Amino acid sequence: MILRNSIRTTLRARRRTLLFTALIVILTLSLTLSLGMYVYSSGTLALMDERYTSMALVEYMDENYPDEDGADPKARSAMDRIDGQVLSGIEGVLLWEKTDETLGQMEGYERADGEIPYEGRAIVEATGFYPVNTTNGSTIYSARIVQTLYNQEGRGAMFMVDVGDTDFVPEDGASYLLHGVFAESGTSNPTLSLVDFDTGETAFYKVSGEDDPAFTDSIFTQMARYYANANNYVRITASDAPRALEEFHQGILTLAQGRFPEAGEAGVCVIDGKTAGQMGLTPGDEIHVNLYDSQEDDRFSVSENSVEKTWTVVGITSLSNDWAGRIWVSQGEGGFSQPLFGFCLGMAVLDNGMARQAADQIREMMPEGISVTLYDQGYFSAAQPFEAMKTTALAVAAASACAAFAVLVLFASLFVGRQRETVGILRSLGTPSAKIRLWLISGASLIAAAAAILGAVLGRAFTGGMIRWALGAAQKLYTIDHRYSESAMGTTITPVEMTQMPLWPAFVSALAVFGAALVFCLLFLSQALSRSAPEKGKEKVRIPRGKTSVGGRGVLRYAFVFCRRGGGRSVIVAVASGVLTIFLGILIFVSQGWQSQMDSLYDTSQIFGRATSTNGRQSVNIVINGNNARLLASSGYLKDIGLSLNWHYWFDEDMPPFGRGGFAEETKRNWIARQPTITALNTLLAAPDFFYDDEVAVEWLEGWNEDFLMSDEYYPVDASISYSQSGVGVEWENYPCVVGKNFLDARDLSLGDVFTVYFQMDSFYGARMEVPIDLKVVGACTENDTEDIYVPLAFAISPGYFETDGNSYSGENEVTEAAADMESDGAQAYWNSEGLDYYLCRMTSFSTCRFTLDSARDLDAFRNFLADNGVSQPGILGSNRLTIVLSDQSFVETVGGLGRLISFCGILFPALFGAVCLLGFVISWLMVGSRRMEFAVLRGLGTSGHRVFFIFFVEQALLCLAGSAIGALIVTVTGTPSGWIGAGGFFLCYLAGCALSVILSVRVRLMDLLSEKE
Amino acid sequence: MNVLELKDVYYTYQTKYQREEALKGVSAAFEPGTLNAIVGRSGSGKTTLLSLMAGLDLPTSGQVICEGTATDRMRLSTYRREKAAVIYQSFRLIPLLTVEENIMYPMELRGMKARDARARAGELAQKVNLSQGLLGRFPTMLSGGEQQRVAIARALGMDTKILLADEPTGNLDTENGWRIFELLLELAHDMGYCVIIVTHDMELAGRADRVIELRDGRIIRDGRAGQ
Repeated sequence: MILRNSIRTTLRARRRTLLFTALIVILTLSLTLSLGMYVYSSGTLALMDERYTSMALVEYMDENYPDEDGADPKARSAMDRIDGQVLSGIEGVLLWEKTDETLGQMEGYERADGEIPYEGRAIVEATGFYPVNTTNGSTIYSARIVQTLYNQEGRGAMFMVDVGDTDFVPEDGASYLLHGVFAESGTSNPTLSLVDFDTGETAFYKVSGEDDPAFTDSIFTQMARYYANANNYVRITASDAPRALEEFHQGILTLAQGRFPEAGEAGVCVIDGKTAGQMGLTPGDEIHVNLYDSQEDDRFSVSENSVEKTWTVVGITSLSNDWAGRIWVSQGEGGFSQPLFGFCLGMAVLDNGMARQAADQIREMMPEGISVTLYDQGYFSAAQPFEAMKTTALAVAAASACAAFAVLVLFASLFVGRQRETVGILRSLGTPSAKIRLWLISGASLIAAAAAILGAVLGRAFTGGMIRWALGAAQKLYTIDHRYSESAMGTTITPVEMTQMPLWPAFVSALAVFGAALVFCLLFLSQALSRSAPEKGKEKVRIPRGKTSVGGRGVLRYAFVFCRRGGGRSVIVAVASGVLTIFLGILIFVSQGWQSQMDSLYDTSQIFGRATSTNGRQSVNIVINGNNARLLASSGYLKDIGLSLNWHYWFDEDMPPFGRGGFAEETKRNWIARQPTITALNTLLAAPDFFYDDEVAVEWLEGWNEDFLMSDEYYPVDASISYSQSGVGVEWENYPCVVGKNFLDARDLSLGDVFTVYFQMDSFYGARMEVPIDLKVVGACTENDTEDIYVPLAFAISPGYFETDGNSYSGENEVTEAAADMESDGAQAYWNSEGLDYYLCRMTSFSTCRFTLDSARDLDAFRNFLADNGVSQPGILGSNRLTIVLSDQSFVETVGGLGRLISFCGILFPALFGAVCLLGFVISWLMVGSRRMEFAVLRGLGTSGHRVFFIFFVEQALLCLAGSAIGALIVTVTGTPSGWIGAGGFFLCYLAGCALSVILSVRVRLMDLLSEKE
Repeated sequence: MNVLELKDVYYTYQTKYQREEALKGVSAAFEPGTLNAIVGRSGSGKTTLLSLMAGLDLPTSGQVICEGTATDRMRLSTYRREKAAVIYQSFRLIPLLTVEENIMYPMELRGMKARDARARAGELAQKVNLSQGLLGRFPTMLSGGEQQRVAIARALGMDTKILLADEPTGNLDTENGWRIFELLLELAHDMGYCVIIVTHDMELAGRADRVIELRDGRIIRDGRAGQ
């Protein structure tokens, strides 16, 4: 009976019950949805964290980069300067590993693919020499191989011997040990070109017989072993995070069978698929590797100290010829003593969520010349929407919980706390206390339980759709254009998402809401059961001071009177107006601040870009087609473009005699390739040595500065050569140049001196020429120790050409005609024409290219321009192999962040103004609504409805105006002039709300004046 | 000559759930200089009748005629301002106005200058035996009897010929109740007001010039007190 009546009476309070049921349903729904979203986004982020690996690759950038066998003392020095302990201590760095690699020889392995350093080298014993030909003074013999000390597989028994520059003259019937290089000669037998040893020993040795000691201990046997080691090496990499190694991280290789070694696991390895196939290895097999005892200048050294290792194969990678002869072990097998070869100094495995900050910190700590490339497999872009969802879900859940708390308190207060009258009646009828408690609790509990269950069920049903919608919105908000950006280096893997949504968010939400409702009801139970009426505070008696009235007449006067005497009510309106005005003013100010920050960012940011290798890391010593350089320069989006191209040069007196013949030519070319470079460039920052610097310190000859590098005044050296060869005649000039201070000291030169160097270039006619050039020193770089020489870009091509639209040049016919008529009078005109630049541009390849965008606002347009022209991105090849990277990460992230805030404001502001308007309405409703009887009395005294409306409206307007004005003043004084906008906005909102509430309140039935007895 | 006349007045309360005829053909006429008491049980329609005479609403049918003009022929707010003053049981004083300002309000509403209104308010306060010292106080600071006197003074300030009072002594103790009644009687007899009061107090009604008794929306008795 008690239950039935309690439920009946509760349900019959239809409006109140419906209102609170709806509120509880909505709040439970909101709680379920937000908890569901939180669980989903957290779960997805956890899955992504497992799947993605973020790593920072630390490399030394030198002109020989990325030669992985290069012995670079600067790279080694840089590696020594890296403090691994400090790096490991950076927040977000999970693991720091210095490059730990070595070479070794695997039993039974002969290298057939990949890099073979001494390919073609052979050491053989031969006899039966017979002269067959003499070319350019070099004699060729046919001969027969007696035995092979070292040779690669597949060579026949008969072969030809090219004596080359050696003094080899075989004696009849004698046997010789020969050292040389096998080359295909176009005949059925291969040709061995004799080459003296690098150590100076001759390439041949006449053997005395089978017991000749040369067969056991000689340069021939030593080098035979050396070549065998060098050409059949296996590369062993030790890492406790093999998945983070570039080859696996970037998907170049995958683990085809087995597993990776665990961190620190000894005695096991992973081997590349090509080698495993070649040697018939499967997981579980053992391999025996003899580690090389590499020296700083000799990577293939094997000594008695060499260590032999036996490893069990636990994993085999996918096939790749480029990665043949590779073995991976854990750090438990690492700690190799080999000095650094190549330029990869190490890698840091990063926490996915903090990868960017950690990479930035690593960058800051790195010495000059070291590049840190972050590879996150696209985690940042993929995770951002989920992070946003997670944060939003948490905020919504917290807000829902707070709102639920407030509603449930009110609910308990109304349905239980204020049931004193019911309690009194029940008591008067002799109802026991326990039953009264049951009466009060049961109805409220039923409503709370039903509403909570309904909300949870609805929430569960809508969670999937809500997640899709929220994810779509978040992805839209966080979409960043990563084209050509340094922030999107490397491969991107497919994101993962949670597929199963757990039931518990709905269950927990329902339980929490119902539980809270029950607790609050129990708390309010004591209030309802208390016999004494709540104490009222003593009424304050306020005696007006001085005059009892104010001046003025009519509506305004009474409005003023009511304002002045409204007491707390007036203060509430004024204070609320002031506070809300300040709130709105600050919001507007913050929003304007974001917008102005955005504008300022666009105005002040400089976006740099550079041409790179296809992996996006190497930016010097690459090949940039001249037309591509012009494409960039004439795009209209660049403020400046720095270009450089170089040739090796030498001083005449430095070149050793190379003799004649094909091998001599090759030796000479190799020698030239090791010489320093003369670099034509239009800014010193484009030089490979300075490419990663911000500025170059130069001591200038009086009257000179860097501008000459981009001057059009100098003639392309190719044209000068062609002039002299074509007989048109040319007046040679001294090209001004910049060199290193050390160079000047070493050559005993000073600023203003002229010197001559030679360099090798391909002429207009396609012939390779050695050209002398006179250079005048006009500047000396004080901080570089190379011997490189920097000359104006005009040395190669007119810089002005790049600023023109190259397409306006009519074409090749003119070139052809002019070239055909080179000796005619028109040649001069031709060479001075745009045609030369056009021609040179086609012929020229630059080795570096860096540029600055004219305006950061052009970033998107420039990206589109690059995309429209098929320009490649790192890791994404376009129709144009020119690969561009833009250093836009911090700019894009800052702009993206500000953009999101501004977008939020765009959504938030109307909602906030709406909320403030609603708040204004609620405040004014509360303030005015309680004065219905005042309206009625005024109306009863014959005051017209309009007059009553205006009295109260003006009163509220004055209070609001006063509060808003003070609020605006405070906001303005504190340096945010937008306070007045906020004040205006709030004032209008409040007035609108106020007008509505007064209109509604004024519409009181006057008959109630007499019927409402107090 | 009648100052107020009711002609076959009907009034119906219409709500969503019910329709209730509060007055069913009430007709009566009231002369100046008399104190008329309307009595009856709860729900008999006496307050409704007073509300219609006060111009708070129009009859559903029939007419309330004041000085020859029916209330449905004039603006009700004008009627309330110029023809009929009401004294409510719960005083209905404006809490944020002082006693003086409450009395002045209807005068100023009719266009009287503040200075004149203030002087007149003083006179009226004196007339209703209200201490001058109370004029600057707010209504909530006065006793019930004092508040009712303020309400009467405010009604007098409206300068109408009709004074309507709804249970004017209902919220007062016996002594104060009698004083207020005496005051109303004096206003009727000495100043010529047509005073109409609604009361449950048959002792008070017995001292009125005329008693109208209502039952179920109809007049069942209309005559001099004691008849």
